[in-house]
Amino acid sequence: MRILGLSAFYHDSAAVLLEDGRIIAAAQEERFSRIKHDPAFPRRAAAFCVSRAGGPLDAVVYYEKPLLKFERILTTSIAVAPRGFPAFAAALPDWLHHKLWLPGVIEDELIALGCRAVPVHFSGHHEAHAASAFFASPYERAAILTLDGVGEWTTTAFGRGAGNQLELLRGQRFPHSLGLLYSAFTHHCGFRVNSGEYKLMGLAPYGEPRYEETILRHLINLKADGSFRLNLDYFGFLQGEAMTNARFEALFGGPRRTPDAPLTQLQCDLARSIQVVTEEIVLRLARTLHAETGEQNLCLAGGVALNCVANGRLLREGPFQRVWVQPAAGDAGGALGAALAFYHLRHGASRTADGVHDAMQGAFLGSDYSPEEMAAALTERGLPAERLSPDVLHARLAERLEAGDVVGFFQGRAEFGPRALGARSILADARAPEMQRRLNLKIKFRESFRPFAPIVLAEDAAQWFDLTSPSPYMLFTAPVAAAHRRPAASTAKWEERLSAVRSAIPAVTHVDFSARVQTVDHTGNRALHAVLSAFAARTGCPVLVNTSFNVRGEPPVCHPREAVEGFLATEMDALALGPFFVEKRHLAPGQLSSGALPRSFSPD
Amino acid sequence: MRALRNLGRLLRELWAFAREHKAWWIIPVVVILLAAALLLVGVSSISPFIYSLF
Repeated sequence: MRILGLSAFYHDSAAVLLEDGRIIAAAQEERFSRIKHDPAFPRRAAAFCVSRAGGPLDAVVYYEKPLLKFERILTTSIAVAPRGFPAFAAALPDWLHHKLWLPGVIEDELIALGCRAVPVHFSGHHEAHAASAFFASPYERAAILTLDGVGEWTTTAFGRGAGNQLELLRGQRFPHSLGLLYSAFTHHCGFRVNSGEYKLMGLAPYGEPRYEETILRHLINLKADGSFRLNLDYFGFLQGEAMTNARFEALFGGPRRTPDAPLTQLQCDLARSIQVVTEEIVLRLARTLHAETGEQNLCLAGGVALNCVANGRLLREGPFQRVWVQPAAGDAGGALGAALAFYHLRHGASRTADGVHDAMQGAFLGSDYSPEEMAAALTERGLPAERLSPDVLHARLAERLEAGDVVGFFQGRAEFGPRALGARSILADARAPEMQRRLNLKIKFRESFRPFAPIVLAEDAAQWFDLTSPSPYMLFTAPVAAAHRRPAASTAKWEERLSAVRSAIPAVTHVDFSARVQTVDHTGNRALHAVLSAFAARTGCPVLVNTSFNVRGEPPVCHPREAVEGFLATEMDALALGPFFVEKRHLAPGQLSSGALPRSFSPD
Repeated sequence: MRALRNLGRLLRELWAFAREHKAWWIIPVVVILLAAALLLVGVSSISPFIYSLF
């Protein structure tokens, strides 16, 4: 049975192809359209998925129920009328022209792709998140926790899965939402909602939780079981004007930071405060869920599940023995969950889980390209490249990384989900003290405070990080092992703390000694494992920096052509494009510019 | 023909939704909004001809 799962029209639209329960293809539209978090119908992602199908589709499943969502929007607009009218009027045309007619819209799109019309089904938003978390997990049975901004009505859901069954037990409803609370602080600190939340998380360790009590006293009424109610007097999202209002600004010492204004200690402290509150809520919810279900495994999904600091605490301090987080935990993963929910719950298909291996295939489910296409992309730019065997390529990469080079690493199928896991990555030496600054300012063109994540050989992870279980999807933070830490002054100003060398791998050690670890094993990503092994053999250090192969404001590269463009537009030193290897030091000045237009980088 | 089929499908879904969620109020609201949208589209498409007459 072939099922196409779709998510669209909010943010991170995506398509997934499920064939007899196996994930054949999964991709976000942004990778093809080059529009970050593209909310449009995933036309190109669906075309890619359909191109991988072994036959005609049997069903299409959309990741939420439009009428239920429209009811929420109508109800909310009526409740706050007349104040929310401008926002309601702005949203209405899209609903009346597209979203209410989704079966017809989807049918038209499929016909345009050359598919025959098939039944269109709908999954609940949090049902899709829960299904993406449990059915794709390694567990035969587990408790399920989904947390996001809002779906139709639900913002938080408790569930339980066993075999091919999944049940949502209860939930918290809009407007009382942890995701929206976190987004309110994202907005107030001058970052983009639904995009800048991870920046806020990265900023948190520079601050102190000075506003934790203020948040708990004024903004939310948090219960012992983790449920809470927002004090809506401080928020503007019900009226659709902004996430926060004048009262919120007065409570936290002034107006929101404008996106271009410099960051101050105030934003650091706000970030730390909301992070601490978020972690407390997640931990309380997990304890309640554990007590109610008695399960030993936990599956997580929803946008809040991308908060890897909270996930790390859940793993270390939470009541569950094992925690698995869907790597595409945001709305893109809803497309996968919708397809899985239909296959197991509606179609009744059985499911096997061995307790060890998940169904995500390392999240390498996106598009891939032939060596001929890669060679053509290099030739288009007039770049000479060596074609190397895998062993030689990996050895050469290790040598250049040890020399301090920053390398673009484009190999195999692209990742599904927000993290670059070694298919569309930039690699660098984590031991170099200046590497974080160099990567941020010269390669990624982004704020200098942003931390980088380490990749580590899975077999050596315990020697370098206090990590209790594998983390193949970079969804848990863990402290750098004490043996590799170096003392650093903690009283310095936050800008000064940036340049302090805190460990033997300073480029990936955050100011609180934490790191967002990705463990790499031989079976998950053979090429990346080989590069890490070669680097470890040369240096004794099995750790490298891994960051997404993109520049500010753009999604990770998808096509080899974009990789070549990114290589030329930044100060990257080398590019490993499949079997091809290019080094800038061997290029003539004319080849370096290659006629590329000057690039401007939009804020992300 | 296709538009009528889609309209029929939407009305069936709307009816099923209202019955399941006991939200009967949503039917007239959606119908009025759709009618208003249709009217706006209609007015905007015939207005060039009206303007040319005057």
